[in-house]
Amino acid sequence: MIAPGSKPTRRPSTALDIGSGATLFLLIGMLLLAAAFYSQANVLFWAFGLMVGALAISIFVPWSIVRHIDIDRIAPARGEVDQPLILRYQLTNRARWLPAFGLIVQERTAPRKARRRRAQPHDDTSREILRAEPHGWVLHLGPRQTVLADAPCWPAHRGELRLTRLVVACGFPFGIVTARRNFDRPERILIYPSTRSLARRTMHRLLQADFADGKRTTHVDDGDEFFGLREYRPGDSQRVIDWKHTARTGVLISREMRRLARPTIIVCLDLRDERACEDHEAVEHAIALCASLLTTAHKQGSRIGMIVLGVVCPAFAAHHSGAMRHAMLAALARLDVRDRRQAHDETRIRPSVVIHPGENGHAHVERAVGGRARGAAR
Amino acid sequence: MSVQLLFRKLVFAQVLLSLMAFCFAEQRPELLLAAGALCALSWYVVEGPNGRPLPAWIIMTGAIIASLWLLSSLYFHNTNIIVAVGHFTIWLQILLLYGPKTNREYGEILALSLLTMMGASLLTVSLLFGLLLTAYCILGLFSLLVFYLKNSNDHVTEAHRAAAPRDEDVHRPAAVVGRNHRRHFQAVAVAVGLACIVIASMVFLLFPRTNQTEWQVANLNPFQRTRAGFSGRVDLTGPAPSTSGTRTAVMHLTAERQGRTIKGGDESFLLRGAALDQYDPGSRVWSRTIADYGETYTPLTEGAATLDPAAQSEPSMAVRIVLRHPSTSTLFSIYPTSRIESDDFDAISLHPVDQQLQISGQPPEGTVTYTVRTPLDPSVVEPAPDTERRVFTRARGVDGAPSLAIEPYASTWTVDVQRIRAHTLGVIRRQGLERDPDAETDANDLRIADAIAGYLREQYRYTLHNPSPPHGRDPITAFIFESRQGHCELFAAAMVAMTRSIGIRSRVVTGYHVSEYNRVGGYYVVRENDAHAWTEVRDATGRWHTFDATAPEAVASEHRADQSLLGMVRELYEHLEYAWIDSFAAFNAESRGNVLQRGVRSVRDAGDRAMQAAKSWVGWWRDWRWHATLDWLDFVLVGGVLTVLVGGGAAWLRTRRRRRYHARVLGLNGQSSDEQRQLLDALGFYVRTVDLLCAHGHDRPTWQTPGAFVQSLHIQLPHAAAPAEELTRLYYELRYGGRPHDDDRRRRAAAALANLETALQSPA
Repeated sequence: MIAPGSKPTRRPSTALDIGSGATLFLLIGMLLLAAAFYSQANVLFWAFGLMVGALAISIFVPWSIVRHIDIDRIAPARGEVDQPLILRYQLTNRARWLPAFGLIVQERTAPRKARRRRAQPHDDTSREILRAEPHGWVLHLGPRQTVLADAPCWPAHRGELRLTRLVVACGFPFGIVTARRNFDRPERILIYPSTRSLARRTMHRLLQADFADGKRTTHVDDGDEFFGLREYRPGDSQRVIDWKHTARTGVLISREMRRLARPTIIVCLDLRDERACEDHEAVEHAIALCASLLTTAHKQGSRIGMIVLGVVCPAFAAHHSGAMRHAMLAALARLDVRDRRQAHDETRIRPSVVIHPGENGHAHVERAVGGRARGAAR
Repeated sequence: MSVQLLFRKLVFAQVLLSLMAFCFAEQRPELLLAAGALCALSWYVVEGPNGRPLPAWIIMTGAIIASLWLLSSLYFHNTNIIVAVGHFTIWLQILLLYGPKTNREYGEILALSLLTMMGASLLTVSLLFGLLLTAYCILGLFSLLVFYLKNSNDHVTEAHRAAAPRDEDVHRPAAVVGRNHRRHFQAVAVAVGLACIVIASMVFLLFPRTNQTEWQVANLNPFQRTRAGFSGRVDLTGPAPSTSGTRTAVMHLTAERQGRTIKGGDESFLLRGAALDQYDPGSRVWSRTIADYGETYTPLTEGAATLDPAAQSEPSMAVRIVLRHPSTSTLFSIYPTSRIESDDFDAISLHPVDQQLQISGQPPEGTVTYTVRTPLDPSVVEPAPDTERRVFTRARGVDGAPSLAIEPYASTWTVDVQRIRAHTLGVIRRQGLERDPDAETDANDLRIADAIAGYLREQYRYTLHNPSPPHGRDPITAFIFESRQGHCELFAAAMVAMTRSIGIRSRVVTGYHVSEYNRVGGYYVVRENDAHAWTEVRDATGRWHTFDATAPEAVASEHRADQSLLGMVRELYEHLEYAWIDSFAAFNAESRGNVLQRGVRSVRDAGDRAMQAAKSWVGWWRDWRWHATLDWLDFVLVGGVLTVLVGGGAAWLRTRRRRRYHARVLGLNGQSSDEQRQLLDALGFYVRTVDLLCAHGHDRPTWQTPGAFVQSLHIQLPHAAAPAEELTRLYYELRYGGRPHDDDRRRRAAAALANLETALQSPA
């Protein structure tokens, strides 16, 4: 269905696809006609007539069906590598009488041929992101009816998935000729790197580094946990005065409260080694490991931050919020390891974990201070 | 039921139906039993609880054995090729039903089943098979439709598998269906089927044909060929007549006497087939001795041949005969025949002595239709007394030709002559008649023959179950002197024996006794068991006259049609079968020409009628123009009415077009007409909003929701975002919120639209 309130920008185009099945059908039809003429057998003339009828209907019915179909995509904003990404379609049959059967909805990442010739060279990254183009199936769509259909897909790579158009195909009733209707429906879906749950032991060792550096310290504040007593200082609120001790000692005593800070983990993805970055698989594993670390740490309540060295990527200070996690994952999804212009080669943010691509497609994790853990994401 | 299971059931039913049809066409109940049982068992083996297909190697082995069996049938047993291939396709289908099946195997099964049906259609033209074929076509149509749905489902499943990671367990996509999907499917199937039939009928009708149906194999079935009630010889050795048969219809005929159709009643005819002149006492067989001598070849000029020009101007009777399965080249006719018309054969051969009609050359395959005319008064036929002499003289002059009897044609009787002669003379004397046995002719010959026929009818009993004559006794003398009961062949032979014994030339004639009238179809039906034998006697002028010595009431009771309700049902069935054969099975160039002529005539008539109507209208208009006096006021009125009509039509078209555009813009195409109309009235302001924004270069992509669009306007067009947001809010309230379209909202929408217009016109 065309989204309400919108004006159709470009008319969908319809085409008939005469494949090998139709060619074979025509060939058999010609042979049958020759046999009928030779033998003058009524049954063969009937069979040929039925074949002609089937062919005529195979052209007319699918053409009529797809010309009355409107479609709109309801896509999620983001997906994740190797996780099901459900693309949903809303299909409407505008026909007054003719129901549609056996509709196949196909996603296309490439623009139409006519446009492709005029436009700039096509970016094939979307084709790499998906193993195959998603397909949806609608068994029946009655006249003046609307249904929703799903097309699951499992992205194979991170990046920005650019869907350009939808094709609704129908070969009903005999499948001899298939009618296709192209709808321009550009849409972008960001595919995050794959996030795996990391080994608990590895996470524990990485988070221990945080404590060891004394970052998990108490912060004297007006928190809600009692820390100690001290003499009253001018400026203290009257509410923090411990009246019992004041009465006992005769000196104004203030209660000191504290609030526990969340553990902080700042991941540094080190891509400065250009030779190591030539191993595409190792780089992808490093990025996936980075994303997994960030996600797992965020789930465990840590404040997370991220810096990427060697390629263009914004740095993220430590913070605990869902939006920040999405921002970091989006940055990782868009990371282009070939783009080294204005890249950060060093940072003043002190990382707690450093990840860099290793050899043989492995990624290495090491604490910024202390030991080294290898291949946690493998 | 899932599409997959439904398709499997349909394929199974289709295979079962095709093998049933083939076994019916071949008339092999034992094959039906065996193949049907194996076919039914396959469902249990493959689809039943814990069922699974047999391994592929078993299926391959079975296919090889079936192929060897086919070769053996063709080369060693000389089985008919259609029958052999039909059996082969049946066994292959059954084997494939037991095996593992992909779409390819299902396609093979459907193709094999279609081949089986086509083979069966070549073996029979029965209406029952036509009904089975119709059921098969309906089932096949549903199978093909469901096959496409299954294929599309499989295609999408494969696409899902290709898109999924290797270890992902991918299921088939769930069926997404709208309301009333079953009803819609049935309606579409019916519509598609009807459209296919209409197109196929047009192709069937319009494609050119020839009359040479070389491959017409309606008579290939050996079982059907052996069942012919009529025979060109009479064998008196058995107790039952040699021409007895079943109730299978062999021909249909309609008769007209002086242009008036004869519609049953007590009317009956004798359809003459063969005239047998010689009796062999040794083999006790009546046969025709002059078959190879003197036949005249008569071509049909423009589909007709005149046999007796003298009788053309006389009142005549026309009989149109449709032979359903002509197994011989004999043409049945009413004696004497003066003219014959047909488009199914090019020439006939007519013997001048016994007047036997035959198709010249091989009989055409399939149905043969012809019309014979006979004068109502047989005496107008010109006698040819010297024809026999001329023929026999010429025949004796041919070298190498077998010797013919010296005696005149159809005059010799050798069995127990004295006794039969004495008996016959006694019979005719009782009628006051006399005859010199040595005289060649006598003026009273016809009266004598009539007396003998009457004697036989009154004194002898007609039965189909007479005992065989004692060993060594001639069946004719045994019939005349001892048993005095028998079937029609014995009656005819006895009359010939009696007439010849006293010097009257006579012969036995075989053919059909026609008396059963089909009230539903309006024609006579001739069956195999209507085969009959009678006698022809020659008078002094050389003309031959028909005498039926069998008691007519006895024959009538034997062939009487069933008048009960069951009989009516049978007549209806037979008429449907006849129509089926006449319209479909026997469709040829002639039928095509007739149908096309009728069609062209109908179109021409309709055109003529339309032209007449147009002419009358033009005439009326001309008269009206001349007779009416129009002043300027009338012209203004007429012009005004025309303007209103044209303007109204244009306005209606414009409104309709705008409504469709608005419905498209508002995404209301999925709504019913009433809902659409209400929402279009309520949401007109939003269409205006979209148009305004579009005019200022802010076109919304089709995939964007109104909410998302107005959010984007906050960035692109901040000074106009507020009224647009207000309008979008109103849109959501009315479209999805179920709020009434009241005055307050109308005012708000009008104000917001005005604000939006102002904002868009002012600089940012």
